[in-house]
Amino acid sequence: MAESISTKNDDFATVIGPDAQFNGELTFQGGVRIDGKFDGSITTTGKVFVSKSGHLKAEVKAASLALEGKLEGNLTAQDRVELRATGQMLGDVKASKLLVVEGATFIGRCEVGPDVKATPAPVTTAKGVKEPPTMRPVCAGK
Amino acid sequence: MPGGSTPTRRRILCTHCSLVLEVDEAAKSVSCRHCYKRVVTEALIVKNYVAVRKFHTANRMRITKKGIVYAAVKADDLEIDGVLEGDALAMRGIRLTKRARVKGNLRGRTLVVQPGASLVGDVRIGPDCVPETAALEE
Repeated sequence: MAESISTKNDDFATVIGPDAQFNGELTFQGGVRIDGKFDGSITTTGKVFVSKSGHLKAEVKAASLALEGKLEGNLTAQDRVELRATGQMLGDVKASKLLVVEGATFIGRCEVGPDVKATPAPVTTAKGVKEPPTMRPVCAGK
Repeated sequence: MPGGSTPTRRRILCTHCSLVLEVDEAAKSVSCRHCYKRVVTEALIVKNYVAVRKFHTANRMRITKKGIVYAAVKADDLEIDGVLEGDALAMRGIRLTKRARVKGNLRGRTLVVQPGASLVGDVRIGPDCVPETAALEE
C-alpha cells in the first residue's frame, strides 16, 4: 500500500483556523489545512487536509485530499483521496486512488482508477488564473 | 455428538429476507426458517466466468484475478481481484485489489481501494450504511 498523505503542519502554507469561516473561491498552489468552515470552491495543485473540526461545503479540485472532517460537494483529485475514520464525504469523487478507513462515511458517485483523468489544475499566468485549454468541436459550416 | 467435538455455530443473515439464522460453522447451505429459501453459507472463491442475476453467500466471497462476475453480489466480506459488473453489498467490508475492475453500485461498512484498482459507480460506505447488520448485534 502506498504511503498515506502527510498531514504535518509544516506541509500547509495556508491554514483556515478552527474559529474561521470562509465563503468564496480559493485558488492557490501548495497545501491547505482546513480546521474551520469553508463554503465555496477550492482549486489547488497541492494537497488539502480537512481536520476533525473542518467542515466544507465546496467543489474541490486538488492533487490529493485527506479527510477527517466533513465534506459536502464534489471532489476531483489527480492523485489520492483518503477518507479517515472520522471523515464524512457526501458527494461525488473522481480520483486515481481512494482509501476509505473503517468508520468513515462516503455517500456518492465514485470514479476511481488509473484511467480516470482528473481535470488538470488551472495554469497560473502573469495575468492571473486561466482555465485549462479545452477542446472545441470543429463544425463544418455550409 | 459421539466421537466429535462440539459443533461451532454462527449467526448469519438470510441473503433473501435479511432475518437472523443460526447455522453450523461447517454448513455449506441451509434452508431459511423464515422464508424457506436456500441460503448459501460457504465461502466462495470465484475463479472463472459467472453471469447470473443474483450471486449471494452469507460468508466471504473472493473474486480472483481470473474471475469475471456479471451479477448482483451479496456477501459478508467481499474481496475483488478480478472483474465485477453489478451491484455489490457487503455486510462488513469491500476490498478492491490493484487488479480489480468494478462497475456497479457498492454498499458496505468499509471500503479499501488499492492503487491501480478501477471503480465506477454509486458508493454508500459507512457504519450506518448497512442497517441489516444491526439484527446480528442484538
